[in-house]
Amino acid sequence: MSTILLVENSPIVAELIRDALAKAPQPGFNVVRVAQPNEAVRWLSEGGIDAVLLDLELPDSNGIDTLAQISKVAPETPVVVLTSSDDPSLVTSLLHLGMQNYLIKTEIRPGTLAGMLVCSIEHKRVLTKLQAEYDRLNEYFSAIREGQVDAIIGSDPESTVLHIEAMKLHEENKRVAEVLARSNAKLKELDKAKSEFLSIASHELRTPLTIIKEYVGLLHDGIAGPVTSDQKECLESALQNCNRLANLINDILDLQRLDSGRVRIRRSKIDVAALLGNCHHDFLSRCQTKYQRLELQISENLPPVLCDPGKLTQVLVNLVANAYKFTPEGGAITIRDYVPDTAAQYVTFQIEDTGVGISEEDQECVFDKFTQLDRQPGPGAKGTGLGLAIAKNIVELHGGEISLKSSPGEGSTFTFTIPVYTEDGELTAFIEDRLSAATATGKELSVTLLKLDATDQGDSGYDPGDKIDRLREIEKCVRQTLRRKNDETLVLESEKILVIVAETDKAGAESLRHRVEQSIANEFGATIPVALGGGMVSAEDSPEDWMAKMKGQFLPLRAESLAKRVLIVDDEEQVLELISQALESSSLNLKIELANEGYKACLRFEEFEPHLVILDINMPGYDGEQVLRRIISNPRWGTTKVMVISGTPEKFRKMAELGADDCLAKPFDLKALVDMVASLLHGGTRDTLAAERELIES
Amino acid sequence: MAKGKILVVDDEPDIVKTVSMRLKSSGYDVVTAMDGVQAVEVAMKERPDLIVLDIRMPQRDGHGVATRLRDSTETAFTPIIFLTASTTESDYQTAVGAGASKYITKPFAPEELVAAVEQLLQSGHKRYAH
Repeated sequence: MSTILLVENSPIVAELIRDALAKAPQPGFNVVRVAQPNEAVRWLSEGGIDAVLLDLELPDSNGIDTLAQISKVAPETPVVVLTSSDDPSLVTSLLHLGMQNYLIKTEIRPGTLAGMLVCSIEHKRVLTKLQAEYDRLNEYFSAIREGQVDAIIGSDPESTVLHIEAMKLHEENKRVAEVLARSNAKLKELDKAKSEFLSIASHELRTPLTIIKEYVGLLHDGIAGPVTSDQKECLESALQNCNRLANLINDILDLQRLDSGRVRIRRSKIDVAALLGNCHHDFLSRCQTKYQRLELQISENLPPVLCDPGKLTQVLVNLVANAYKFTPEGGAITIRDYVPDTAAQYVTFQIEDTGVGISEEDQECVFDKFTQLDRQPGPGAKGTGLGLAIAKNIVELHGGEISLKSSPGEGSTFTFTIPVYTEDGELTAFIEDRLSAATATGKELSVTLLKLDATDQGDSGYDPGDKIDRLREIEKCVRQTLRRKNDETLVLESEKILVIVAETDKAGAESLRHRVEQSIANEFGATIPVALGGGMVSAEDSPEDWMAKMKGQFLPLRAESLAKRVLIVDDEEQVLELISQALESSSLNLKIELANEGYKACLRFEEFEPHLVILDINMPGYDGEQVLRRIISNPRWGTTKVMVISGTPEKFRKMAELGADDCLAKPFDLKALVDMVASLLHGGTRDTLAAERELIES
Repeated sequence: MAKGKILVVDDEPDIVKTVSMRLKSSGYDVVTAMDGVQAVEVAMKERPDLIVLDIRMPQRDGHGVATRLRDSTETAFTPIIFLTASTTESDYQTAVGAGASKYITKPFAPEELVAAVEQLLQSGHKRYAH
């Protein structure tokens, strides 16, 4: 049933329309007739009207105004206009005002009128829906434009709700993200404060602990006076507890370093049987006092592993100490390894005990820091609760895994894995470990590769089978030219390459390469078929990248590196002049520098790295003896030869004792000096004692 | 006769005292200083064969003392053992840079200290063999 509001002044026309609708083939029209536009507005605002039938030619109002009024009050109600004119411009303006359709009064027939009303009602319904859809889409688009939603969820009527929900969610997410960011920053701050606190606390704890431990130690060792055996026993206990406290402080620091990634491991090829043996040995007597059986089972095919031996020992000690603590008297502890087959990538280690065991829910937190489960260790078996956390950290740093199997009352088995040694693995670990150490202290790392040239046809007196031996000799020689404690070497046996890493920038790497070339040429002669390559490595590159980068750049040993550097030190300019001229005019290939003061000589020394120092003894200020002491006191100058010249030969003995290689008394014959220089530079070392004997004889 | 003269520097009197007693009992002469400024004065005057040096001290810290001593003809070669409660990498690196011969952290094993002293004093008279 559709209710039609008929706005019609003339009762006759109204009756005509009622009649037409009653006779229509589509039944179900209920007609409400009003004569005045304001009555129509009242009806419409009350609702329940499905369509309006409006006579445009009402006597006391402008039909167009009435249409506008109706559209405003009831925009969703279709309006059909009755008119006597079908002037297109009138129709267009009526359509713009919200008219749905129109009918020429003279053409009203029951079928057309009812049909038009039904169509108009349906038409308006669809239009309204489309408009709503359009509005919502518009809203979506503007929301997407403003970045408030990430996706449109659907186009069904409920999606509007979903869309609003999504917007709300989005707002909520933003709020949560802000809260998270704030608390994250707060946590970072707290973590930093914690690190600082630990570092300060450890410093502040260390000093008094050191003092207590030292006083007790002095008493214990009888240095502060005699002690009775009873007193000594008391002091022994005091010392042990000092050590326990010291261990705790070290453990805390260790863990803090592990946590913050500041622990550096140095992995290499390790025969782990020896480590296991040592660990077993260290605990044997302790276990015996608790009548525990400590067994060691090492498999015969145990391959070498790739690990930091000190750190792996720490893992073993922590795990065995844990087993020892929680295993009652008369129990058993077993240390064993397990290697599935020869192709295995990991060696598995197990520490098994017959102790109190750990319940399933406790197993989850056993590797957490400061976890002391509610277990009852034997007397005197208190730990820090850090040992297992440290063990886990170290194992993971090695790329292994640690796990626990246990049931209460039946004991526990800790299992961890460490990678089997491979040459590729070692090289990667070698560079990685040093790179992370260098990066942590803000330094760069250079890698220099050295290989015996593959094109060598054997004419230099050794066959390729000797290459590894030769490479080892070269390594020994190279190591003498390395300066810092973090400059290191590695021989890759299968590739027959010597790897040298140094914490230095590009320029430093270049000068290192020079030094290496020089020392090799000095030691083995310039014809040795050696090629060098290398470059800088960075943490962004993968190990494969490093190798590819470096192996493409091998260049043969450079001959210009063969000039020997000589530093002449004398306070008399004339002597400097004389000696340098004599040497320059000789057939020797030399690079000469002069120093007219002892202290200047020491400074020049570090930069110039001479092969030979010609050194006067009597100089004002820093004299020859002091210069020599400085040279010899520093291990890095181990290959430099020193030749002493002086007008006071009685001091030669002292100088020779200190380590001078040869001595020449002033005044001297220049040819003798040149000969001596030649023999020192090319004839190898002259034994100091022999030199001194010669001196005594002369 | 004493095996050598050692300067012990620490701002903690008890550390100075215990380390001195330990070294004296091992046969060394000991002179002491309680801060960095005094350390340089004593080192210049007494010319010790070896110095045991703390890092964290008021006035002039251990790094400063070492750098200053390395600059002087008289003390440029004197071996220095840093004995410190600091375990930071940066302190260690700075110490090595300032010419530390050895770096020992507190609390220390007395045997380790004595062994280090002995080794450094012996090697001072010998050329390093590598």
